[in-house]
Amino acid sequence: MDNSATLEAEVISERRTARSRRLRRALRPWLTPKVIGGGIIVLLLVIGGLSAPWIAPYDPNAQNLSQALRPPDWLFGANVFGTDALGRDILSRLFYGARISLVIAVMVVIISGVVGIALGAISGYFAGTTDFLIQKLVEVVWAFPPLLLAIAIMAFLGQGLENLILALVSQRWITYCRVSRGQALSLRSREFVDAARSLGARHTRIIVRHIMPNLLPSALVIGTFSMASAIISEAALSFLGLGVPPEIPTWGSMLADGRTYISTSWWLALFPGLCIFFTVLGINLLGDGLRDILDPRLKRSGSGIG
Amino acid sequence: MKASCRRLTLILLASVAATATFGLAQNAEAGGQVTIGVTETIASYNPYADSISMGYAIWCQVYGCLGFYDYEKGDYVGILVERWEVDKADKNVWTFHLKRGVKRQNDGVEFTSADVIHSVNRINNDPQSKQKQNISPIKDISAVDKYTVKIVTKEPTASLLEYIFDRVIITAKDLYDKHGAREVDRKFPLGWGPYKLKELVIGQRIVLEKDSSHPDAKPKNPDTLIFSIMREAEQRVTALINNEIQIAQFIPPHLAERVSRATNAELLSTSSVEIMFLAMSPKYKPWDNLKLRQAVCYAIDRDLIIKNVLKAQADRLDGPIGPGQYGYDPEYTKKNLTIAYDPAKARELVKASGYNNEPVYLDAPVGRYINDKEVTEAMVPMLNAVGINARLRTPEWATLWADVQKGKTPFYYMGRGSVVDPSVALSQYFETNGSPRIGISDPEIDRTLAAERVAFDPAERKKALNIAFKAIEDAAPGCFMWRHHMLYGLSKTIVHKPNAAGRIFGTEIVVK
Repeated sequence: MDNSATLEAEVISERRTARSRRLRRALRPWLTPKVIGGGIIVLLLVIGGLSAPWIAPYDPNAQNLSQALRPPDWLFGANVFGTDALGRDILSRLFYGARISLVIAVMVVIISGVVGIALGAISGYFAGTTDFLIQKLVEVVWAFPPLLLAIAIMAFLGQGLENLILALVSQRWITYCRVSRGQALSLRSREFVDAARSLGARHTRIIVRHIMPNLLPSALVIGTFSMASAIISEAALSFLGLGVPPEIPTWGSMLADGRTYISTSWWLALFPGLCIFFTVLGINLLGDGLRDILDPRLKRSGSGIG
Repeated sequence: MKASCRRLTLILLASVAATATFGLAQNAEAGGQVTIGVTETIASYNPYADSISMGYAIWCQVYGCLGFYDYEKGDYVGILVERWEVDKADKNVWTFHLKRGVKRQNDGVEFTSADVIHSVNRINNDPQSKQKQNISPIKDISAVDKYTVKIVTKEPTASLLEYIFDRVIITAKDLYDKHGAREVDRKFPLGWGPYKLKELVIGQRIVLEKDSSHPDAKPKNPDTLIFSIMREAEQRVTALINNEIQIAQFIPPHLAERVSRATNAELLSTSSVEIMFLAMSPKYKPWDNLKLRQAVCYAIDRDLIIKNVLKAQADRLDGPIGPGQYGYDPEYTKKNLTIAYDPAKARELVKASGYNNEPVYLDAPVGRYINDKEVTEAMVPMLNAVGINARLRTPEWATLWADVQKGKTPFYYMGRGSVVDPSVALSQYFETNGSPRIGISDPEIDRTLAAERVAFDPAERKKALNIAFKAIEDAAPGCFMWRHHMLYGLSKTIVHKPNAAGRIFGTEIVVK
C-alpha cells in the first residue's frame, strides 16, 4: 500500500515536472529581451491609455491661461511635466494622447489587416483574372507615396479621427495583401485544400476555414510593424495640421505645437517626442521578437516587413 | 600608404581653402543682398490672381502702382501719379495726372494712360483676377491724353485712393497685347518699378533685383531683395541670428526676448493697421441668427487673451478700427462701440436666439497670424461656457483662404491688413456684394457705408464712418478682436523702419 502510494506520488510529481518543463520549453522562445522589453513598453502604453481618465491629474483640455508655459515641476508639483501655451497640463495630455495613438494604431492594423488578408487570400486562391485585377489595384495604390496619399485624403476629407484612420489604412492593407497572396498561392494546391474541395466545400468555406488561418502568423508580424508606422504617420499628419481636430490631444499635434516654443519652452516638444520614440521602439522590438518566433525564415534571410 | 595619406591631407586642405574662399566671396556679395523671412507667399505669376498685402507690395515694386499711403506724412503720395483732383461740380469724376518720362525696365518704353486703363480692365476681365473689389467703385475709365486718366465712379467715393492707389498694379498694355496673359506674366514681368523680378519659386522665394537706372533706386538700397517664405517663427528668428536673413517678419511675443538678446540684431515694434476679427456668415445656419452672432462678441474675453496668449503684444479693438486709423473717434468709440466681456449677457442672448446646440466649427489658420492657433483654442472654451457648441478646425491655409474667398466658410478667424482708411475693408467684408467672404446683406450697413463714401468733407466723413461702424457692430457679422503689435527682427547691417501696413519696400531699406 505504502509502495503504491509512493509510486503514485512520484508519478504525480514527475507529471508536474514534465508539465512545467513543457511550459518552460514553450515559453522559452518568448522570453527574449526583445519580446520582454517591447512587451513592457506596449503594456505601459496600453495601461496609460486605458486608465487615462483615472490617472491623469487634470482634464487634458482644461485651460488655465494665467499658468501658461510653466516649466516642469518635478518634485510632485502641480504640473510635473509643465504646461503648454494655454496652461494645459502636459502630463494629462500625454496620457490622453496615448489613448489616441493606441486607438489609431489598433484600428489601422485591424482594418488594413482584414482588407489586406481577405483580398490577398482571394487573389491567391482564385489566381487568374481575379488575381490579375487585384494585383493591378495593388500596383496602382502602391504607386503613391504613402504619406502623400494620406495627406491628399486628409486634405480632401478634412480633419477627423475616422478620416485619419481611413487615410492611414489607404495603403497599409497592401503589405498584408501581397504577403497573404503569396502564401495563398502556395496553400491552394496543398493536400488539405484539395481534400476540402473534394468533399464539396465551397470556395468561401475553403478560404475562411482553411486558407486564412494559415495566413495569420505572418499577418501578426506585419501588424506589429504596421502599428508602429501608423503611430509615426499619425504623428506626422498631426504635425502637419492634418490629423485629428485640435481639441483631441495627440502626441503629434503636441509636438507640432511645441516646435514654436522649442527655444524658450523645451518641455512642450520634448515629452511628446520621447513618448513617440519609446512607443515606436517598444512596438518594433515586440514585432522583431514575434517575427523571430513565428517566422524563422525571415530571421534567417534577414528580410524585413513593414 | 604614406602617399595616399599625403594625398588625403592635400585634398582636405584644398577643400578647407576652397570653402573659406567661397564663404568670403559669399559674405562680400551679401553686402548688396537683403533677405526677408516672410510668412505669406505669392500664389501665381499673375499679379492679379491673389489679394494679399505682401503680394501688392511686391508687385508694386516690380510693375508699379499709382501711389501709396505715407505713414510718416499721414497722407497719400503718388508713385506713378504726379497729382490728382476731384471735380468740384461732379464728385464722381476724378482726374489723375501721370508722371511723364517714366521708362520701363530693360526696354525703356514710356508709361502712359493706356497702361492704367489696361490694368483696370484686366482686373475686371482676367478670369484669375481676385482683385475686382479694388475697382468696384469705378464706373468708367478713359484717357484724356497720353498722361491724363479720367475715372468716373458709380457714386461719389471719397475713399477712392484707398481702393486703387497701391492696389491697382500697373502692367504694360503693349506687352500684354503682344504676348497674351500667360506668356507676359511668366516671361516678360517688366514694369516701371524700382525692382525687377528675377525669380519666383511659388511657395519658396521671390527674388527681386534693383533696376539701378530707376530714379527711386539709390545706391545704398539692396541690389537684391529676397522674400524667403519661412512660416515657422523659430526658423525666421534662428535665420536672423545666424545672419542668413536680414529682416524677420512677425516675431511672436515669446521669441521677442531672444531677438533682443542677439548681438547682431535688434527688435523693432510698430503698431499694425491689420484688424483681427471673427467672421460669421449669415448665409449659413445658425449664423443667420443675429442674437447668436451678438452672443459670440460678448463671450470672448479679449483682454484675457491679449494678456496671456498674446503677451500684451496687441491692442484691443472696440469697433472696427483703433487709434491712427482714419475715422477713429475715441469718444464715440467709448460711448457706442465698446463691447465688454459679458458672459452672462452672452448666455442670455444664446438662450433668446433659440440655438439648438448644434456644433459650429471655428476655422482658423495655423502660423498665418501671431499665435493664431493658441488664440482660437482659447476662444473655444469661452464660447462653450456660454452655451455655444463650438469646435475648432485648423485647415491648411491655402484651403482655408480659398474657401473664405469663395464664401464657403461660415465662421472663421481672420485679419484684414492695410486698413488705413477703413472704407474699402468694410465694404469688402460687410457690404452687399462687397465680396463673398462673409456674404451679409444688411440694408442699414449698405446705407451707412454708401453715406460715408459720398462725404468728401473730412469732419462729415469721420462722422459718417462712425455711424457705419455702429451699424456693422449692431448687425454683428463679425466681432472685432485686436490689432497686433508687429515685431520685426532687424539685422544691424541694415537700416529700415517697418510701417504699420507691414509692407516692405526695397527702396526703404538702406544697407550700411
